Amino acid sequence: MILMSQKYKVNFTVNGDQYERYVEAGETLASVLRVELGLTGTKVGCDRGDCGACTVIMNGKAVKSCIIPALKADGAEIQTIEGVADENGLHPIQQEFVELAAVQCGYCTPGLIMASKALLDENKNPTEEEVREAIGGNICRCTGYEKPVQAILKAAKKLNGECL
Amino acid sequence: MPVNKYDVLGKRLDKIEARQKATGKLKFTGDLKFPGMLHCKILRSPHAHAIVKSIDTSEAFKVDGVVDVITYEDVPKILSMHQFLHVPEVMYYDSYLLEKHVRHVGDRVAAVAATTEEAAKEALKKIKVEYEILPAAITAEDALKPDAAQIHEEAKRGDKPVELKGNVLDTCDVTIGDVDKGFADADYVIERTYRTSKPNNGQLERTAVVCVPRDDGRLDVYATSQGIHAMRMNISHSLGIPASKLNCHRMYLGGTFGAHIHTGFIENICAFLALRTGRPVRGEKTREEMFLSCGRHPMIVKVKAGFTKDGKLLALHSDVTDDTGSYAFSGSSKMALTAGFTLSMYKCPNLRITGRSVYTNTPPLTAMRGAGNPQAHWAVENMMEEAAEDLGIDPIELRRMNLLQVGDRFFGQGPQVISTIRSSGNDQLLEKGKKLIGWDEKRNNHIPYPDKPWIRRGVGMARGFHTSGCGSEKPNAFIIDHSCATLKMNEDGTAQLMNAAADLGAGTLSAHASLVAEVIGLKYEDVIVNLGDSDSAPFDGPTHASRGLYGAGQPVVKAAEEVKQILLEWAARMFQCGPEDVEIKESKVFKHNEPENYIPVADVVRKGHFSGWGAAASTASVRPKACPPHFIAIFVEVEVNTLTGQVKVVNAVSGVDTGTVVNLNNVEGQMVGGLHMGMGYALIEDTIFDRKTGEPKNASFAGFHILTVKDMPDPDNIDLVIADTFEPTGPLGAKGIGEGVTNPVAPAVANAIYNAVGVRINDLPMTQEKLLAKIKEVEAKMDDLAMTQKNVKETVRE
Amino acid sequence: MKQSNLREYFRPKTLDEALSILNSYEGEIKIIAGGTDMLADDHKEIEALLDIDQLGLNYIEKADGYIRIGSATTYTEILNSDEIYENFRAIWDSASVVADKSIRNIATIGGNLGSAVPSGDAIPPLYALDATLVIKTTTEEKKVKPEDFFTGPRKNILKKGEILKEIQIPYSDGAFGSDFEKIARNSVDLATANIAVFVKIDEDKKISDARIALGAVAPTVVRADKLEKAVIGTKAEEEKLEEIVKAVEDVISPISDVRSSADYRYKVSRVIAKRAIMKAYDRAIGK
Ligand SMILES: Cc1cc2nc3c(=O)[nH]c(=O)nc-3n(C[C@H](O)[C@H](O)[C@H](O)COP(=O)(O)OP(=O)(O)OC[C@H]3O[C@@H](n4cnc5c(N)ncnc54)[C@H](O)[C@@H]3O)c2cc1C
Repeated sequence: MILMSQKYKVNFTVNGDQYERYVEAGETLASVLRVELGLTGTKVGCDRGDCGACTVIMNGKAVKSCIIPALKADGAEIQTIEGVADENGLHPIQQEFVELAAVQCGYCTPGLIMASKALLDENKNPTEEEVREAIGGNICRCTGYEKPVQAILKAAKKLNGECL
Repeated sequence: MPVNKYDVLGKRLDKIEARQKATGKLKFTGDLKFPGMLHCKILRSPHAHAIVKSIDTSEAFKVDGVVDVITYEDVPKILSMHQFLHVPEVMYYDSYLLEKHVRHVGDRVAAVAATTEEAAKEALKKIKVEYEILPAAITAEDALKPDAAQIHEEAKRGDKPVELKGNVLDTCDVTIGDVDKGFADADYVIERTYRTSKPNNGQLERTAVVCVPRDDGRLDVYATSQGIHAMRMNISHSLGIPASKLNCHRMYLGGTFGAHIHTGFIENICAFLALRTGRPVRGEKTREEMFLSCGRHPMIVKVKAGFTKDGKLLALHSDVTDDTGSYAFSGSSKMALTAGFTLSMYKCPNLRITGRSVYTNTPPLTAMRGAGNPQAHWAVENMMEEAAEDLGIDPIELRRMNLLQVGDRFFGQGPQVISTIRSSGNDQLLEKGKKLIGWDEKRNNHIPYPDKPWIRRGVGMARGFHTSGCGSEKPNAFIIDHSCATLKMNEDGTAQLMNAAADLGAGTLSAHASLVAEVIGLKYEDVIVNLGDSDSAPFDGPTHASRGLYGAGQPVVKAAEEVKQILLEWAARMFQCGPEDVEIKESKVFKHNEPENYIPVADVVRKGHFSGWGAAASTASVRPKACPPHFIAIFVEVEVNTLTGQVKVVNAVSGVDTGTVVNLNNVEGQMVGGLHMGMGYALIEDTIFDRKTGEPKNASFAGFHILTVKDMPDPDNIDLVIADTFEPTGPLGAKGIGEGVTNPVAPAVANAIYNAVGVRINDLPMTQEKLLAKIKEVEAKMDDLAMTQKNVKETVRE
Repeated sequence: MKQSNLREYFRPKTLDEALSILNSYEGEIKIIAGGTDMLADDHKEIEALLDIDQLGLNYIEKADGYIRIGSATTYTEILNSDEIYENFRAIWDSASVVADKSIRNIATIGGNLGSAVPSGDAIPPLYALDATLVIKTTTEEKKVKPEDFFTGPRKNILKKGEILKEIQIPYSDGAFGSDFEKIARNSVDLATANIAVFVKIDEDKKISDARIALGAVAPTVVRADKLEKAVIGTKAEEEKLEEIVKAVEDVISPISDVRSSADYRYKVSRVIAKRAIMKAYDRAIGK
């Protein structure tokens, strides 16, 4: 017999939408996003905070959602990859990831994009060093990171209104 | 950069699925959900070698939500294999879905299907197992000892029982020419032993599968597989059901690098459970389970090479001891491949390969980018460098003078797959790489920071190749290499491709779309590639051996040519001219030199289809008759901290000869990605198992590190060279690229380290710790030497 | 990673409330701050978690003669503090190399002390900078030195019902400098060896006081007292240090594990000792 553990109410906004859900004490944010809300764009590669595929933005900061208890997200404002493009189309980071082929297998892509979006949201003009720092916790097994770094820097320029 | 005579090829094009991936919309296998879906978890052995004496699942069945629990007693008594690359006659059949005799920590003892993952996990805890623990052999050396425990008692190769005495599952001994005479004639003979490590594929997507029973009694299988037909044959064999009962869906893959050529058993187990329960069953490995089910084979490669004093290779003998882990996913073939590749790096008249493939009580190993070739490169390219130094010949020159040339034959995939070289960009790569890395200036300039003399720089290089596919001149009785494609035109002028090759993330399907667009004259956006399934796609072998473009692309070109011919004929009827008078460009058909007077391809298709002229469609099937090497040359500059042994790659040049560039973006992605993976192999990647208990010591990304962005050279310091070549046997002149780009990286780093600090580590990975120990050893010797010289001087003075 | 046996999750708003939950909870309850250590594994033994992220324990405040760093202060918050950068550089440096940015956004300095792994990067600076740890129980506030706080690998003196509240570090007067160095296999690995050094200099620019602490090379972080004494009176001259740093070997007792052999740890401890002393000294003289 499995003892049903108590469920807790959590409220948070995800990509601007308010959600109320009942979750178990030990549930992670990643699993609530993926299983409860069906937002499977957030990937889980290691489930222990090492690979960064599950990176989302919580209260303005990039975090690894597989090691965030869902209940810690109570009251939080969360952005996932599904909320990055808007009615006007792709976000410049996404645009550059597509155009420069910074997307290879694509499994680390949502995490990379969220980590770099958190950076560009707070720092419109990052140095290459700052870009590397921002995605230092995102493992990519395909690209060797060259194209992602170039895509993020180019997106920053675009966001700054620089013609390219 | 090659001159581009194509409309579509050679450009930077968005991958067809890139937007879906960048927006999180693309569903990978693990993202799928079906009503009533059960979750499968596997009970894994805590012991490296044991017999299950008793197993009691009664308590597990009582857990709420548990629907089924199976053990070795329940699974089909069919000895199975885990792949389907090779022809059935040479494949090894050595396991059951679940085992009574478990052979590594993490081996499969029982499986549960439950309504939730938690219930399944809970049930695993309730299964009572009594093990009889057997002595384990964790390394090849231990497994080869006369008193080593027997890891397998039965195995079949094809339908013939393998005579297993000890843990050797296969051996090879092939000689070409007269090796003894070659060595006797040589002025210089070098003999070295190299060891390689056991890196994990480490693709970010974990193995996942969902098997969904259909109303018609068949089963839909969604799996992280490199080949839908291979998966289908594999499951059908191990479950003893007809292939047509299974429909395997093609999924985009989150990497794999060879791990999913093989099944990880969980696919077969979920299929079995789905058939038993009549419900969809989903399985997904944990990251730890990934570390317990795939990885590159560690090998001991002994090389003996004989040269003339001018540097001509006269004889080469390579002896390979391959550790395949607990099951022969690809053991025998990796041994043969490494041996064959070792001999194919350079031109040499007298060759011998000997080898053995050995079972050990460690997780079964798979292919991993390079399939035996990184090991071959590690040995040969270290050896060449030492030989060059001893012979007093520039290392690049020594390589250049021994290159295989156009017209030479080589072993593509072991001794059975012989192919002839028809294109080579080797000279271009060596010349450009040498210039870009600054070879001549840097080889003798080791102190970049005068105030930090303990940091030394060095440059080094290594070259090599990988095959493009497994095609041989004559059909071989070793490996399956045959591809098909169906192409049809839609009434809106789009073309739709249905084939079965897998896209591992490299952009293979986009490349196929480019080929179609180029051949017919369509816009790239007008080509749709169906993901499809084994029900609807014609046969193809799995995507491996860098054959996704070269091999699977050939029928795509052929089908496109046939469809184009139909379109030209129909357009000619409409223009009332001959088909030779019209052409297609950018999805428009017009008479030569009259582009303004065009008919959209859509109108041509509609006219043809609605007038009963036929259907603009074709199915083509091709057996590639070669496996052309895509040549690679890697140059790196490193910085070695002689106080800590830490190595930083500061500059790198990756040069490839990939034939026609189909999509420049994808080619560059492979090049830098290959460099990254090769650097990890060189410096840090290894999975470690306790030598006695076989317990994994670093089965996570916290213990097994993959280089991060901060460990890579600045993007501006990576130069890419693409040779201008055309492969006559390839689809529009293209060859492969995916595996070659990693093969020479590790020895290039080794050679740069040697140039920097005069130290060579023959065992991968070259950790900071091994390096520091070696540096200290050399320093001590130098000190001794200085001491002796001083003493000598003093004695003389006295 | 999902905590499979977790039944309850508390996220109180005040320290008192938190302490009373800790005291009254009957089963196995643990504190969680950032959770980056806690959720990296499935802790099957834990039945309840008490989240301290709402207690207002994330602060960096100047007090009389010392700075107070709340235990739930994240590494990112530390890195954003000029006060720490200027006065307690070893802490800032260590925060800059812990894990990666996404982890630093949520992981706390208190959590590093709570986990008490010998390689914890936040720990050596606290020894070197003479920190005092403040532990809160329902009845009292206890102050302990790091030397008395850590008792072994993954062990500290904290008992159930106790919360690490803050870290207090005295300001130094005169000319001083500190540094933190780390050797690891790659940019996100835990330390193979790490070290923090604090030095003060006199008018002659000679070292007048030194505190040196090494991590990942013994069951807990260790002070290199002999080395501290030996550097006093020097100007951190490279040649002199070369010899002096051998003294670290008296206090360290490294083990071999997947990260490194004991032998390598011995060798690099000396190297980073020298490097950190020179850097701390350079900072002290304003170089
Ligand atoms: C990918 C990754 C990389 C990492 N790299 C590094 C690294 O380079 N260097 C390094 O040192 N660490 C590293 N860590 C470990 C971890 O991030 C740090 O130890 C961090 O400081 C832990 O803080 P936390 O707030 O997340 O702790 P938590 O996980 O919340 O707690 C850790 C422990 O401390 C206890 N605890 C927390 N706060 C208190 C308190 N106020 N009072 C009493 N007990 C308390 C908890 O009960 C628990 O036992 C890494 C972790 C990950 C996942």
